[in-house]
Amino acid sequence: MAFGTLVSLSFYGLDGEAASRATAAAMEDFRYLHSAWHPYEPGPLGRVNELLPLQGWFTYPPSLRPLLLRARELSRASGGLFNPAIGELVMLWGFHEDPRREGPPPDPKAVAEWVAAAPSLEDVELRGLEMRSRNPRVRLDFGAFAKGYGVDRVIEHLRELGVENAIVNAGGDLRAIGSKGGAPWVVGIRDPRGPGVLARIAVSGDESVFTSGDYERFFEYEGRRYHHILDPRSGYPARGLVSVTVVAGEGALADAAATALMVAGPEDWPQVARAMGVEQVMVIEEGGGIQLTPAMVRRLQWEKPVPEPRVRPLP
Amino acid sequence: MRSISEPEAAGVAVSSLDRRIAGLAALAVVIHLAEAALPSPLPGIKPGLANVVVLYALLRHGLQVALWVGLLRVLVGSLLLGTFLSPGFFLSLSGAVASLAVLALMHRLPGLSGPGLAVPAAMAHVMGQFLTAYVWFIPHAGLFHLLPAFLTAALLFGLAGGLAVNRLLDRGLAREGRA
Amino acid sequence: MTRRYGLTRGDRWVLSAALLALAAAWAALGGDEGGMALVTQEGRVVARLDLERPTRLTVDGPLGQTVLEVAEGRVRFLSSPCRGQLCVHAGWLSQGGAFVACLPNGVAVRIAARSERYDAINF
Repeated sequence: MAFGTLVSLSFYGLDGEAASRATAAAMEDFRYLHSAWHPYEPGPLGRVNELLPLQGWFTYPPSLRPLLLRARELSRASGGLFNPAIGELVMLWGFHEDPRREGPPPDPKAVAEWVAAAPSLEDVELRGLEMRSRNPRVRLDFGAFAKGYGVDRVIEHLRELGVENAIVNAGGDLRAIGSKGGAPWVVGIRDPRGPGVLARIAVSGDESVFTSGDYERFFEYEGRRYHHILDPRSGYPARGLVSVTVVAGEGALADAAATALMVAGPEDWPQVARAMGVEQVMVIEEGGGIQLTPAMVRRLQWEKPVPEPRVRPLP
Repeated sequence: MRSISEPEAAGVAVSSLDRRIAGLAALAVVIHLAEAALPSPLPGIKPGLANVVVLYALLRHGLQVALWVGLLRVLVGSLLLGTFLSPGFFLSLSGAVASLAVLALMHRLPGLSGPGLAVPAAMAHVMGQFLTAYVWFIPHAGLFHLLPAFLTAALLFGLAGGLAVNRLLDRGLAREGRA
Repeated sequence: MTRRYGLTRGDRWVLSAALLALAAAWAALGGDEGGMALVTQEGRVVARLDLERPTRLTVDGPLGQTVLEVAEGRVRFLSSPCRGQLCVHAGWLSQGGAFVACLPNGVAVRIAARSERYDAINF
């Protein structure tokens, strides 16, 4: 599912009619993007995924081209930790269905085979409007990035409609432009493990706030918890972190980086953040510890008592 | 010379206590009417000056006079305003009863002067009104979200009223001392 | 009775107690808790539910009727025509900022905090 939750929009300085026009336009965009980018249902991306394993050249929908190119850049920058060719692994784990069908985690042998095949966007060749995959295990799933990319497109559209001050919030991940009558927008970052809001951050101008967390989708089997952020290196859910919050200008970047840093884990995430070019990051460890980049320290205001955060300068 | 309103004319014995009650109650009613006529910047919040008269009555003449003044103020005030037996009357009455109850309980405590009695009485007044409003008119828990603001106002006006009563009593005593 | 600033010692005790009671009243009732639920259908606001007024609301969506129930300061999805029933399983919502959506039928419920401190919640 491309957008696991509903979208909410906030505007400032728009009259009711303009606001409902902008809302309608944005909703139409999201509806289209949801069906166009759904990896597992009939539709443009679904069709591409049917054709990729055949390994021959085929024509793909032009609207996918900028998405593919940007995804490849971000995947490269992340050293493959953000991997949109992960669709088959997602299906092995059953996370392609919402809700996931009850059942055990996949056979470790099947996971190991997928890891050995190591599908990635590097296996996908683009030639104008034709594409092919050199690896039969490639199946595209932009789930870790489509929300950000979609929010970016909707913001673009809203700007064309003359909207200057808005928040586009796609199920908790958002991009804010302009301000609230000169005052910054105030975004509360929910506590991933407790009730209420952990910290607040004032955003204005043009900024995206994206969080990836192990609590978004998961299942339990025989007392163990398995979440949906899969590490392409091991084929298993990423370990060590509860959530990663990234503040960046572009939604697609913030979205992909939040996923990649989740996968990178509690020690290695600063290198990946540096490589992807994001500077404002908060990560929450499984033990409850908080790590922040120096740039993020200046942005956050705590809304509840927290353990002394560990500041991690980027290398 | 007798005025025509002298109740003795009707053959009823009038004590000096009755006269005091009548005078103070009349004063309280006038203040009550004046407050009802004056617009309040915050709906429902009034300085409660009439209660200053009740407190004065209590400290100067005792509980019995205060009870009469407090209850007559509500009754006569509502008759004159035309709100007798209306919701406003019951709110007024429940506030008055609650604050009189607190005064009756507290006025024998040692060491309290005007403010020490007026503040709890004013707060009880607000609580009594809220309780009545909730039970009879607006059974809506959201009502109580207004309570802190009203209690704050009650505390401030109670304090001011209590200090005013202290001064009134001091002057009265001083005058009697001179006389 | 000696008075300082017009207050006897007893007055001061009473005043302190009153101030304490007042602080408690503000803390208990002025707190940042829920109060209203915003119901949207496909992003359009279809209702603002006062959580203190028990009621049921039926919202029409592409799949059919979603029924919301308000009781005791809380709100929940009572029934939904969707397949997953995630919204129904989410149970009661009461905390300010809480949000549950039923994507299939396009119905979302968000609790507005009494004082809206945040323009958006990130999670």
